[in-house]
Amino acid sequence: MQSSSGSNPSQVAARNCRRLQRELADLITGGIFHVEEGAAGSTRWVVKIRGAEGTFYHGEVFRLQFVFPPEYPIEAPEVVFLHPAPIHPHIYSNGHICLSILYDGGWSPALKVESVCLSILSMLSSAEAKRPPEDNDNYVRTCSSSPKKTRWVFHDNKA
Amino acid sequence: MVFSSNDVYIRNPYLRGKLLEVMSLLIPRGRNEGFELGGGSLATLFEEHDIARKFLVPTLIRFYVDIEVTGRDYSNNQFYEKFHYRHYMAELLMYIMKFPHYITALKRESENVAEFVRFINMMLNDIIHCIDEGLLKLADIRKTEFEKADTQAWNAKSEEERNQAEQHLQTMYGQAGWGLQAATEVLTMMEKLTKHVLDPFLRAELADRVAAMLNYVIKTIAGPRCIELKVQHPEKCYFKPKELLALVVEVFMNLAKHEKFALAVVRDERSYDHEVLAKVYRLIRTHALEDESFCQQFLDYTQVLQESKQNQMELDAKIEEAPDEFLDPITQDIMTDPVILPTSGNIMDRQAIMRHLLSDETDPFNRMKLTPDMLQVLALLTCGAGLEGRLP
Repeated sequence: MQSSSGSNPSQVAARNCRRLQRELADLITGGIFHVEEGAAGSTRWVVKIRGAEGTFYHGEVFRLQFVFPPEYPIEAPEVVFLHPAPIHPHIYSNGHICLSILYDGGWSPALKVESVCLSILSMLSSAEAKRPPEDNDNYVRTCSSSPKKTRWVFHDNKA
Repeated sequence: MVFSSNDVYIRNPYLRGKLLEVMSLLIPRGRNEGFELGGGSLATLFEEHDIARKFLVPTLIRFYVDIEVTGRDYSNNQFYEKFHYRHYMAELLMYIMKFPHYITALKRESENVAEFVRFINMMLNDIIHCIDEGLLKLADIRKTEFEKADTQAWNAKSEEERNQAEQHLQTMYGQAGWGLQAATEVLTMMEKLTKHVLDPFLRAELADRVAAMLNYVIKTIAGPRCIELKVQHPEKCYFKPKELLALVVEVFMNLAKHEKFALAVVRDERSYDHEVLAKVYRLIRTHALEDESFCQQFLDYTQVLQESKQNQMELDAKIEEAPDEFLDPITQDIMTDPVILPTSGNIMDRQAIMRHLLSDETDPFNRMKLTPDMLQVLALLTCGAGLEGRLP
């Protein structure tokens, strides 16, 4: 039996195919991040991100999932870590990320997949301790499946 | 009363909402149908009162826009309150559009472009939000109903589990009903508006969104996956696919009178599909949802769209070879009306930046305040001509 109760009802190409095509090409040429799954016509990409040398995450590889809404890039993509998510004060164990640029008010259409990956990498690198968020258990139990539905409170701009 | 619901007099949009609620109670209602003309003294109030004639249309539209700001960011409850008050606004607006002088007032109001465009943009948000709310719930209902239909597995569940599923099902029917009713109302309002006012709907920053919304709704209810919306009791959630389809097609054809609409429809890579429109034509004909001449016009228009699509694809092939400076940095589409963003100095296509400014009045590159009047036309407009020269 089929089910379409995902957060994104469209499985066909997003309206802004050309923009995604360009981003994909740039991401591949850029060579910093490895695109594991993704095509210009697909609304879901998975990008690999490596912990930087000299940080808590050196030697670890994480997978970030991007889901592009039809109005991308006017609207932000939905970005989560696939399991297992890095242990970090701003990253919940279900993969949700507390980072202002990913949500209304912080997102700008001038941002790209590559710049989002860079921001997240820098957030990992600047961690002062390797521990989960304080309210992790409570949040993971009560949150919606999409982090875009969470009302985030951003505590600092260090990330 | 009409006087006082203008924001100069009362700033609180909720209070104004309440006033509209009271006013909508004054709409004369017939016994069977919603509205009836000549309903005694109350109707005369709307028909003849000078203040109403002068202020009602702008007041209603401003209200729809103003309530948005308050509905945002707060608790869920207030989010729905926004729809609650907009419902009264929609009732009033649809009622007064029975009178010719209000239609004149509406046309005059639509010349206040900035506000009218925001109004339309919010209508689109509402339709998309409500219809998704409704249709996604339908798919969910269908899933649960399937589970119930599998008697063996269903009986194997504990009573508590069955009760829970049953309750969930009723809640979902309720939520789907809310979404579909609200979406239908806003669409009906849009149908009435597009009978009289077309230009603002097809302004560069809106045309693509309007077309994409209509394409999306049409594709969802008539496309290949429409079977997923079939539930056992569509009447319980006010799901009337045929009426909904007819309504959307009427809006579609109202807009088709404007020459810019065809291009906007076919530019939508996500939902425009000639096959689906061909099926829609068969549906509206066989079920007699529209009269013969309307069906014919629709069929003719699908041909126009197909030709348009062909042209568009040829243009697309050219874009592949276009140099970067002719492409919009955000959409990567070719620019037809390039403008300079004064604070960051970036060049963007007017259509793309206007679309962004509808939801966020900042420069995307530096987040500084940016409003439409600050955009500077690029003096050396080499884009169109230059491109033609440089491409084979």
